[in-house]
Amino acid sequence: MQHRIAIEDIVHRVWLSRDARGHSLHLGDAQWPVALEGGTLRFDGKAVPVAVAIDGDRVFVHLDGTAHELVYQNPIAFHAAEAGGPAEDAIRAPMPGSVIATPAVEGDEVAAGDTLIVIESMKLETAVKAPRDGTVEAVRFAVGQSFERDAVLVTLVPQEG
Amino acid sequence: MARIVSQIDTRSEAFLANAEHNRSLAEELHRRQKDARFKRPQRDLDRLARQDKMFLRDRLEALLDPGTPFLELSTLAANMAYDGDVPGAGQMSGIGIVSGREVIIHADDASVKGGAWYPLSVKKIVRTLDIAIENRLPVIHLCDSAGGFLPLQRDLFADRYYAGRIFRNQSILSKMGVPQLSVVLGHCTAGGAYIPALSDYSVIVRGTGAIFLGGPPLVKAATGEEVTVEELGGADMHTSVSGTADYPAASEAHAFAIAREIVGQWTAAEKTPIDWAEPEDPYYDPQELYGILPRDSRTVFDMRELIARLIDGSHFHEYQPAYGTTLVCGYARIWGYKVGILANNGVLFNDSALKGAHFIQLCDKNRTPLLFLQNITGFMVGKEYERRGISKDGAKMIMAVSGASVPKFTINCNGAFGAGVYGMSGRAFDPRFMFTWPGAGTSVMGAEQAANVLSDIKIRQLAREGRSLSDDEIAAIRDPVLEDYKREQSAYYATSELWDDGILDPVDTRNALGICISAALNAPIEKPHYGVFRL
Amino acid sequence: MSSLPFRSVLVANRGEIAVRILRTVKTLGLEGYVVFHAADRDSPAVRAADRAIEITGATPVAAYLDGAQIVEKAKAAGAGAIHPGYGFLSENADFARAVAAAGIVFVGPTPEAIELMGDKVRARNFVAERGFPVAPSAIEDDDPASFAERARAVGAPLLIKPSAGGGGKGMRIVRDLAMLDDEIVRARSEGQRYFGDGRLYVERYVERPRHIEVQVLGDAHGNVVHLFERECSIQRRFQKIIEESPSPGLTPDERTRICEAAAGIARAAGYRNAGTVEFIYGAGEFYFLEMNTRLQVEHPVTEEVTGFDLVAEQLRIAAGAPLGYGQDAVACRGHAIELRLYAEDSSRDFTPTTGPVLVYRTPPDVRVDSGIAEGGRVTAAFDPMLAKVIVHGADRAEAIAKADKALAELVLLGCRTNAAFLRRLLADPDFRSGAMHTGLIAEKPGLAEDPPPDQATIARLLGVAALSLRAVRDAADAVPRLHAAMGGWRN
Repeated sequence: MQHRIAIEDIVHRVWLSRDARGHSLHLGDAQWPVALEGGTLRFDGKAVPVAVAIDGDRVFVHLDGTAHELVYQNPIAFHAAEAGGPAEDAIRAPMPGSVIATPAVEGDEVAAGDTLIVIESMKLETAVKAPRDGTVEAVRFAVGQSFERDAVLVTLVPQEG
Repeated sequence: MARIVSQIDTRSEAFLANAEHNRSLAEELHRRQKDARFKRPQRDLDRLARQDKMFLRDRLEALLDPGTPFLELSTLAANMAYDGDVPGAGQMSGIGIVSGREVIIHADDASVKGGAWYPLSVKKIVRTLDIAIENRLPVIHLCDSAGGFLPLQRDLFADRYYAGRIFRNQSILSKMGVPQLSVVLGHCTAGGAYIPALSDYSVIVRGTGAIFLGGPPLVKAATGEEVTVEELGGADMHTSVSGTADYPAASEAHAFAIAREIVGQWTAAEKTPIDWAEPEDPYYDPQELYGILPRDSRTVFDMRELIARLIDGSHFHEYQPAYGTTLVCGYARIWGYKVGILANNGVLFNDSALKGAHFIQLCDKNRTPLLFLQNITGFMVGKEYERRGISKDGAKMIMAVSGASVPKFTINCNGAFGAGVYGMSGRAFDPRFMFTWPGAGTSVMGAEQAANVLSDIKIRQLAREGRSLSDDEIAAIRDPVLEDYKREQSAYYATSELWDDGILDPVDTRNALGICISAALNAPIEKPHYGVFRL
Repeated sequence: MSSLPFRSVLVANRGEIAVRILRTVKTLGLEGYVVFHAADRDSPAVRAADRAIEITGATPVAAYLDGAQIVEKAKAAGAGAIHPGYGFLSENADFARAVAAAGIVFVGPTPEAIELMGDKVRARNFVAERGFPVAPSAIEDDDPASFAERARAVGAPLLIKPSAGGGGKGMRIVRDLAMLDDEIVRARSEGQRYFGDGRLYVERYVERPRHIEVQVLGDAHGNVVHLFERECSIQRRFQKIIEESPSPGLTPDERTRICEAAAGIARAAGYRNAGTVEFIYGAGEFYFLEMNTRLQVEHPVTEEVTGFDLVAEQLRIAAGAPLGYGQDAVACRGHAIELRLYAEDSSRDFTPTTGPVLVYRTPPDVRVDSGIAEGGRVTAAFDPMLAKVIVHGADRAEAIAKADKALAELVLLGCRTNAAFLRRLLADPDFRSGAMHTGLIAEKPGLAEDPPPDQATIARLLGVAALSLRAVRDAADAVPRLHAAMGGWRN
C-alpha cells in the first residue's frame, strides 16, 4: 500500500525507499534518488534551494519561488472515510470567519436546508444549512467567536443504520 | 577468498544448446506460474466483483510494502492433481515485507473454487505454518474460504498432519510468542473460524467477512433458527459483542490499512547474528546458469561453475579440495551472509560422505548456515565400497545432517535420486526451505533404471512360466512404467505434491536464498549436538 | 528632535502599521507605546514597543475601536501623543476631540477636517463649490421636474442609480443619450420593485477608470505641499492590491493638474498633517472622489520616490512645527511599487485563509512592512493583509522586475497567500504596458487561477514531502537492508 499525498486536492501515490546510498522516491513507474539537507533538495542529482515546514499532516514547501501545501492522508482515516463514514453528521466551516447568529440550538429537529448557523467572513454573510434532516447534537461556537476553515461548527445526532 | 575461475566456453555449441533448452524450461515455468496465479474462469472473477471482493493479487499489493521483494512459495501446488482445476491448491503462501516486518502470508484464494480447502490446500497451509514455527516468522492470514472440500474429507480431516494441525500450529506459534494477524475478508466457517480466533489480532470487513462455527443454513437445519450472515457472525457483532475479532473495517482497503498499522506496531525481531559482509553481485553472470546445466541431466559438469554464479563475487573458499572430490564443500557468501555449501560433483563415495559429515559439523560449530546443491544419483555401490563401510559413512552423513542446528537450505539443481538425497538434506531432513529447478527430478531411482528393474521382474516371472517376450512386448511393459515414472519424478510433480517449497528459475535462486536466510535468522540457532556416529 | 513637545507616542493600532509607526518613533528618539488586545499579545508590534498596554473588548476589533478606553489608558500611561494609524479610529472626529481634550497631541488633521471630508456629500459639495473637478451628476430630489434635462446635461456615458439602492442593484449604464428617457423609465420601475422607491440620481460614468490619488502634507501655518500621485488601479472588489508611484498613465501636464488640484483642495480646507485626495481618472478627465484624512496603507511608495519619511513629517507637524520646505523641495525619483500580501486563496474566489506562520523569511534589500512574525498565527480575527512588499527601481521596468524577484524570494509557509496571484499580475501584459484600470482584475478572471504544478515540480514536491513526513520516512527506514536492496523482485 503506497502513501497518499495530496497536492491541490489531487492525490498522488508514492513510496520512499532506502538503500545504502540513501533514499529514493517512487512515483508511478519512475524513481529518483532524493535527499534533503538543510535548505537544499537533491533530486535526481540536481540541487535546488527549498524551504520546508510541517504542521501535523501538512507539509508546506517553497520551491522555485512558489509556496505549495501538501497533505498526507493517513491511510486508515482515508479508507474509513471513503467507505462511507458519518460525513453528514459534522457541518464544517467553508471558510474562516466568526459567528453572527445561532438560530439552531441543541436538541432542535431540523430539515435538510434549514439554516443552522450564520457566519461572517470578510464582510460576507453566509447561512450554513443542514445537509439532511436530523436533530442538532451540538453547536460548537457562540456568537462572536472566530473559527478556521473546516472547523466543525455544528454536529447532528448520527443516524442509525 | 579466491574467486572461482570459470573454465566454460560460453560460445560453445553445447553451452548454447543447453542455454536454449534451459531458457525454454524457465519460460515454461513462468508461464505456468502466471496462469496459476492469474488465469481464472471469468465467472469466478465476476462473482468476486459482485461480492465486492478484491482479487487475491490486489489484496497482496494493498498489504505489502511497495518496492520490496516477495518470495512466493509452492505456486504450482496441485498443478498435477484434481484435474488441474485447483491452481496453487487455492492458496497463496509467501514471504514479504509489511510495514518493514518480515512476515509469511497465508491467503485463501477465493477465485479458486471459492477458496475451498482441498487436501493439498491443507498441506500447503500446514507447511506455511511449519515454516513460521521453524523460522519464528510472524504470520498474516487472509481468510476467505468456503471451507473444507467435503468429497475429499478423508484426506484432509482426521489424520495428524491434516486440518487440525493448522490450529495446533497456530497455538504453538502463539506459545512461542510469534504474532499472528488474521484479516477476515470472507467466510471463516467451522474449522476456519479458528484461524481468526487463534490469531493475536484480527480485522474483519463489514458486509463480506464472517466468522461462525456453522453458517445460516446449518443453523437452520440444526435448530430451526433463522438468522442472517451479518447477525450470526458479521463484523459488528464480533467486534462489539463477542470479542472474537478486534477491528471492524468498512472495506477491504480499510482493512489492509488497519492491518499494516497493526504489523507496524509489532516489535522488530531480534535477528540471530551470523557472519555477514557487504553483499556483492556474482562475478560471473547468473544468466550463464542456463548454459551450464546440461540438456540431458545425466551429462556430467562441474558444480563449481554453478556455484560461481550464485555467490557473492564468485569468491569461494573450498574445503578439502583434494579429498572426496565428488562432493564439493566450501564457504561463500550469499547476499553478504556466510554459508557453507555442499554440492554433488558425481556419486557419493566413502570419502565424499565422510567429508560431507565433517564439513557439516564444522559449519554447525561455527554457526554457518548450510546450503545443499543436489545433483545426486546415489551412493557408489559394489563390494569394495561395502567393505570400506559405505553404508556406515552414508549413515554418518545422515547423522550430521539430521543433527545440525544451523539453518539448512536445499536446492535440487539437476536431480536428486536415491539415498544420496538423505545425506544431501532432502525434505525429510527439515531444511528450512527447499526448492527445485525446472529440469530437476526426484525419485528413488532414475526412471530408466526403475523401468528396467520393474520390467525385468516381469520378464523373469514370465520366463519362469516358460514364456519369452518379443522386443515389442518388452517395450509394451516397459514404456508405460517409464512414462509414469518420468511424470512422477518431474519437478512439477514434486511441487504439485508439496515435496518442495516451489520451483525456482535458476537465475532467481540467489535472491530467493537471500530472503530465506534472512527469514531463517529470526529463530535462534541452538548449540550443536548429535547422535552417535558409527565410526 | 528635542523641540518636540511630547516624549512618547502611543500607537492606537496594530499589525504592520503599528510596527512601521513605532520604527519612526524610535528613529526620532521618542518612546513608543502601543495598545494591544490579547489576540495580539505576541505580535511584532507589541515586541517592538517600549511599552505595551492591554485593551479589552467584546471582540478584538471592538477593543481597537474603543476610543474612550484607549484615551483613558493613554492618559494613565502618560503618553504625549496618539497616532491612530489607518482604519479603526483614524477618521473618527470624536476620537480626535477626546484625545485633544485629554491633553494629548492627536497625530492627524483637525476634527473639523475629519468631519468635513468624512461626510462624502459635504466633501463633494465643498470641492465642487471651489471649482475643483467633480463628476457631473444630477439628483432627482433636488428638482424632480428638471431631472431628465439635468440628467442629459451630465453627458454620456452616465450611470443611473436608484437613490434608495445599494449593492449594484438597479444601476444602468447609458452610453447613448438617445436611450436615456427609456432607461430612466425602466430604472424607476426597477427601483420601485426592488427598493419600494423609484427615485433616481445620475452620475457621469468613467469607462475603465483609473484610481489616482495624491499625497498631501499641510502644517498648522497654512502651508501645503503635495508629494505627487500614486496609481492604485489594481483592485479587486474595491480592495487595493498593487499601488505604484508615479502613475504610468498620466501625461506630465495631467500630473501637474491633478497634484495641484489635490494641494488646492487641502489648502482650501485648511488641512493639517497628512492626507490623500483620491480621484477617478479616465480618457483625459479626472474627478474628485473623496479625501482620506489619515495616513494610507500605500504611503510607502511615496516615501520611496520622494525620500520623505511621512510618519516623521506627521509627528513634526503634530508637534506644531512648520513644514519648513516648499513644493520645489519635493522631487520624484525613479519608480516604486507596493504589493499587498494577503492571506487569501485566489483560486477559491479569494476566500480568506488562516494558519500558523511556520516560516517567514523576507528577501534582503527589499522593504517589507509586515505585522506577522515566524511563530505567530494568521487568524480570522482581523483583516487578512499580512505584509506590504515595497520595491524601488530606476524606472518602472526595473521596479517590476524587482517586485517579481522579491515575491519569489519571500518565504511564508503555513498560511496560503496571494503571492502567486501578485506575480501573475506583475507579468500581465496590460499591467506591464501600464494600460490599467480598476476593472482589470475583474476582466481577467483567469489570473486568479493558480495553474497546477507541472510533473517535474510535482515529483520534487513529493520528494520533499516524503522526506519530511515522519510516517513516510519511518516506513522507508523500517524495511530491512537486504529487502530494500532487492527492490520489487518477485519469483
